[in-house]
Amino acid sequence: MGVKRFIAVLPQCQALGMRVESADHEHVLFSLPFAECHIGNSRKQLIHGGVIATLLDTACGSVAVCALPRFEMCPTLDLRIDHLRPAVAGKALYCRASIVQVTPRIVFTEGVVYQEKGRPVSRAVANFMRLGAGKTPVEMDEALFSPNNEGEE
Amino acid sequence: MTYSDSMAQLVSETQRSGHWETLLEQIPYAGFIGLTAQTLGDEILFCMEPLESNTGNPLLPALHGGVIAGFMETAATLNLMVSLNVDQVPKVIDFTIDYLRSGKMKPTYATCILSRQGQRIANVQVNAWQKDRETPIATARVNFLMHDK
Repeated sequence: MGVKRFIAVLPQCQALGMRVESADHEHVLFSLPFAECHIGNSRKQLIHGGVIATLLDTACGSVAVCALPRFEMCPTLDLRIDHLRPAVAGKALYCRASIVQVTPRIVFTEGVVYQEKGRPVSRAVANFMRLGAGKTPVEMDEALFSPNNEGEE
Repeated sequence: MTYSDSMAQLVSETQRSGHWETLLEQIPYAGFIGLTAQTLGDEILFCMEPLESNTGNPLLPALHGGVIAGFMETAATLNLMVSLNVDQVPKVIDFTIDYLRSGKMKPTYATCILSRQGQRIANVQVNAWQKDRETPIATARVNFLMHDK
């Protein structure tokens, strides 16, 4: 599976410093080591909600793609996030995203963000549209899934 | 000066002068995504520059959906703080975004409507567009927990 390569070609994920820890057909685990540009509130040293939104959107979008038999473009339809407790500066964020349901047109996912295991910072539901394998650029599919590239991972 | 005194001063100063730079410096993430703001009469117009680092899909290319969400959440928070002249950053309880069109690599604008402001909760709706206001790329709503006075 080419999830690491998928993330490596997304400039915003590179700018934030996002990493893929593990991925299968139903779950992914991403990590995001702390960086100064993640701060939303300098005085209270808290992580910005936009960083959490990007981590959730990317992880949920990745698990949606992982659940499909072939690579398909899956733009986000909607994303809803509950912020359960503040995310503090200086500590990494982790995001575990899971498949809820795959239908012919839509993939339903959910995700949770935490800094310490068992203490969720945020949780989200995100739904994605399946555009179909035919609408996906061939280069994208080849770049991500060609067995010749597997050694890079 | 206490934290809330200095924040209150910063917010009233922004409200009075219409100059946003000092307030935006308090939010490193706003600089990271290229967010600016200007006060136009009774409206605040937020803008996000099409920085290369804001790209999600490089093939289309398109803005990352998470960046659009971060931009709209920041716009909602700043709009609420400056229009109500609050002395602390209100907490986001929940954030909901609907993506209507893909975000092109060009400037993105956002305006906010304060739908409801109560003692404890404020609800803000955000509209983001590129071509014109009537063609939004995303709409969002945010529930905020207001600090006790």
